[in-house]
Amino acid sequence: MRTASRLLGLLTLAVGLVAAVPPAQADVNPRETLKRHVRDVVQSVKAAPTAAKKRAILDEKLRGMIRALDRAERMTALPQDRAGIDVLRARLQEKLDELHGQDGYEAVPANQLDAFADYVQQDFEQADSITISLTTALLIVILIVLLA
Amino acid sequence: MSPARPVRPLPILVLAALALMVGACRSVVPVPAPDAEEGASTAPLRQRLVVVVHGDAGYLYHTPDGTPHRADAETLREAFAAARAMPRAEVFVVHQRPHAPLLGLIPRDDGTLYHFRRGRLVRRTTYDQRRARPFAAEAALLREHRAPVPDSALFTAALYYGHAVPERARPGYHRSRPEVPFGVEGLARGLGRLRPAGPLDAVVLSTCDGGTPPSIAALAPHARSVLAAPADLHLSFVDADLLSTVAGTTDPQAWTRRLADRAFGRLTGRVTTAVTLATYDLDRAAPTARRWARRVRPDTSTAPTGARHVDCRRALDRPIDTAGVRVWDRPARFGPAAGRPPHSGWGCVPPSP
Repeated sequence: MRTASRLLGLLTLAVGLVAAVPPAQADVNPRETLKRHVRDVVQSVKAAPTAAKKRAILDEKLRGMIRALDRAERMTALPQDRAGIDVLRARLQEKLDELHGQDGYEAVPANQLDAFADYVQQDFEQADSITISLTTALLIVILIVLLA
Repeated sequence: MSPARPVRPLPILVLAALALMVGACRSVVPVPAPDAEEGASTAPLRQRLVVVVHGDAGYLYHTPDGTPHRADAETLREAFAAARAMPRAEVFVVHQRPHAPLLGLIPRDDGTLYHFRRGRLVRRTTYDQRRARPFAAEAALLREHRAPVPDSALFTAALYYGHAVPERARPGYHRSRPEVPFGVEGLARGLGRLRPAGPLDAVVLSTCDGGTPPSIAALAPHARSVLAAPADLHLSFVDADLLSTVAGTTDPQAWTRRLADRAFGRLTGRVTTAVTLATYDLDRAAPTARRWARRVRPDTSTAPTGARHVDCRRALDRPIDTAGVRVWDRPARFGPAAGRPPHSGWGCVPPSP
């Protein structure tokens, strides 16, 4: 009886603690993982010692994300997800074009690459409303890692 | 074998109650207990503000140093700071949290109301949002707890912080209750519930794509002046702490313009994306909004927050009346719109490709 009561108390405490987890931590999801990935890219760009390395990191990571989106689009059957992926890929392709001065853009000057990296991140975060399901967002995260 | 000791249920019950209370009172922003009454200001109230912070979606963003922020939590902090710095205001700060039943079964309140009066937190309470009727629950709490000074004797304003509200109600806006539709008409009716006896002096939509003809037309019966973004607005939003810097202003147009001016200065200092804010004097801008709301391309996007908008001049390929509209605009530092012409202040769904 006493053991059962102790177990009940511990169980209740565990339930309370689980329920008390702040939403800030409980809300981690693949969409946020994508934002963190972009944040990590931006921080590595800023830490790079030369403009050439900054440009190379941006090039590699943007291409990696675009490749992951291509694969994810082929693997998802949801039309809404495909539309969301199209929009996101177009935004990333724009960044890649501007980075290298393609498709009508002037190449980002060497002394503005850090600011451009901030722009990549802020524009990506602003695109939060893009409709991609959690499942597809998770698939994109996995593909980014696998294709890196 | 020693005899079994009697079971003491009281400690277990206390433990259980404590655990459940902790679970029920969670908050993303630490808030001190309501202040004591001693020394409270007795100055007559001049403003009544309602700050509604939607927190039931993805609001993560990063500052340039890589630090993560939650837009809803940041706005709460700023709103608390402003409320404490306004000795002649009554401020209701509402946090619309995700619906999260205990163990997925037991209903729990999903809203928190913080009530400040004359710079002091006088009440903090949780409530059930009842989302099918936007802001009905919040309006009931306001009626119950507000100071005995009629709205007509005060400057009244409501501020909404969240993602873009779609022009047509659709599901998916509230991440934890995706089946509940939400749209601009519902938002406008909800804001109207916060001041049922007449229009609010000012409404602020700290969202993307709030300055559109359908949105402004929907808000027109409920507000005298509106501050909104007719395009994308970065998640760091219109800083709520700026409310205290316009605490001395009670003219609706002057209040929104000063707030826009200061918010624009802050936003342009920290983001590289476009910053476009506009104020709408609804006596003059509402006829244009109503006229164009019937003519512009409807938003048929299935995204929970609707389609992204562009300048109506570009979407319609013709001039649009900007009487009563004042614009603060800085294009993005990079990207396809870096060299675009100044924004008209009206956002429209872009033409089909």
